[in-house]
Amino acid sequence: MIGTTVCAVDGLTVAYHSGGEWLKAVREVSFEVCSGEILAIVGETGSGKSTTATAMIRMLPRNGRVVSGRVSFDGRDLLALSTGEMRRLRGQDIAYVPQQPMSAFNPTMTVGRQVAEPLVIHRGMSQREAAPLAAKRLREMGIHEVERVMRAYPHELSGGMLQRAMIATAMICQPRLLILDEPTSALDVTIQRQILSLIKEVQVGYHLAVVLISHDLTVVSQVADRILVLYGGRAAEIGPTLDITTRSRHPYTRGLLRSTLTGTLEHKAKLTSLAGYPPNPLEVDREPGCPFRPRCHREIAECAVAFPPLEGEPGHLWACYDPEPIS
Amino acid sequence: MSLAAVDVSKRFFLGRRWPLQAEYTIGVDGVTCEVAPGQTLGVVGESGSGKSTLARLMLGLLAPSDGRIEFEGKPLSGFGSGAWRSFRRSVQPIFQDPRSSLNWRHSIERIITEPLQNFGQDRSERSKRAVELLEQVRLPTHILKRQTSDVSGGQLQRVAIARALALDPRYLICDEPLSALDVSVQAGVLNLLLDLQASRKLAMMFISHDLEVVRHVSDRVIVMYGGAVMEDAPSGDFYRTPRHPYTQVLLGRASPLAEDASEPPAIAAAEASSSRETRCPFTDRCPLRQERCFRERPVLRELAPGHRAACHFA
Repeated sequence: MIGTTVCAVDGLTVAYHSGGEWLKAVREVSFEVCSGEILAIVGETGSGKSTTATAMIRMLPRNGRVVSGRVSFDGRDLLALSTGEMRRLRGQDIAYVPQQPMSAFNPTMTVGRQVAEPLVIHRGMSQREAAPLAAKRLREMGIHEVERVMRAYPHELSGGMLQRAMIATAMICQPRLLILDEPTSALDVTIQRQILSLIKEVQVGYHLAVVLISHDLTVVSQVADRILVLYGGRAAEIGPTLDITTRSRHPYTRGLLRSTLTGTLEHKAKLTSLAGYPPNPLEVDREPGCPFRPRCHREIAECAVAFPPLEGEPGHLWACYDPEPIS
Repeated sequence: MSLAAVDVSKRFFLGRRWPLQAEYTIGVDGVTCEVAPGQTLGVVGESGSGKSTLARLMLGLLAPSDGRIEFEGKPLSGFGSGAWRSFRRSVQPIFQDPRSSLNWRHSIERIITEPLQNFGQDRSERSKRAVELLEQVRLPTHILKRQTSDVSGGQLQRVAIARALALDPRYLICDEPLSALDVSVQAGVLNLLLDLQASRKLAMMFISHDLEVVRHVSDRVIVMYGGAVMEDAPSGDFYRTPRHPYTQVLLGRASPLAEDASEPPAIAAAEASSSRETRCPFTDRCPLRQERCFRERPVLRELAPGHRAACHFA
């Protein structure tokens, strides 16, 4: 069941300072996430998916800044908050799970201490008070030998185990918004499936709003309620998962889906592949028009002039002057 | 006439523990497999399963601790410098990440033509050949003068393929050739490899963690776990009737045992008294494990023509 809007991003534009000029990596991206919903953001290298996430929680690298747009959380504009106010929200109401669990943990502290740390920081608990709560949360994340895991240092645990502990850390203050950046891409296939179903379980159990970032459309379509497809820093298409996977209208989304192996193709037969390569993020800002144009098989004159507006049906929008027909 | 591993093992030396007992970690453990002419051998397994070590053994970049790699019936260990040169011509690698496997100080042209120079072609022949090779991998010829940092990852992997093809090899050892690439360019590179294989009658060893891709390209598939082969089957059988519990876990048709599940006392006792050499490597996560799996290591046995699995209960 999908509840009320928890976080709304409106016209977000983010630029990085590079070689003496500001280049926009994310341009006018808008979406909202409701409680009890998983929104997946899908895109390739340089599409702006991680930039969108780090801008939302105001953790952009030093050379990045938000040029325009609003990020509202519970009706408050996150971009207008003071650093201190933002710090109180982060880890408490908004949790973020970065890429690569192995490098996100501090190697010199036990896992138990790190899982409990948000309680010490945000709730003023002592380590002793926080530890049983951390153990409880780890158990919820499907870890059986909680005692051993609490005492272990990160290098003593496997990637799948660390990812579970990372999600436990994120969930310890019972946030209302959870942002996960590529939570499964560093893991093996079998573990990947387990982590995805854990994310789904947690989201349902806590009626959480989740933003799930990934490069893999087929992986996220197993758990997401809605999918936002980014290309060259712009929203190409957004809609309910079923609409995106079965009746997508943007040629890029369609191309991605067509080039995925589904098992129905004859052995060693050729795949339908997208021509060309993803745009260089440093160059995409310099050209007006649609960033997908050089690779698109439906290009028309307007495509070079201006970026197409997002339009479509209620709930399912695409940015294309000549969308693919529904097959 | 093929490239084959015969009961190959590779141990890596870790150090010595007092009193002077040498410690090793096992990379590859008793693997027998064959890359037959014109065919593709798929290798699947998770990280740490020994896939890449096997690739490096097949390329002659590592020497086996036990067993042998045979090229057209002769073991690599007996090769003199002439035999090595002809082996290098015939067997070429494609690695996962072209940004780290190719020299970023060199121009694209130099990367592609270096093998030709090494084998004595003069400058004009080389630049003619470089243009041909670029056409074969469907790259524009104007990138010859570029540096690796000026081209995208997908283009650079095509450059790596062009370099591998420069000497007209008969075998390509591809170690995760798609996984560093963006999703939208993977299909194009895969199509290119399939095309080249068909037109040049190339034999390939194709290593990947992506089961769909391996299913699509391979004639035969081996599954590795803990350095050893768990299952070896024609690719059709492999996906239709997987026999080993690990293969079933990989294909999502069974769940693995949780990493830290509690277990019946009999199994716990068997586990405590077993050693790494005597037990099945998959006992740590196998949903079907029994006491016997800790006492007696299963060997590959034939379950159907050409289909083998190493499990007591398969």
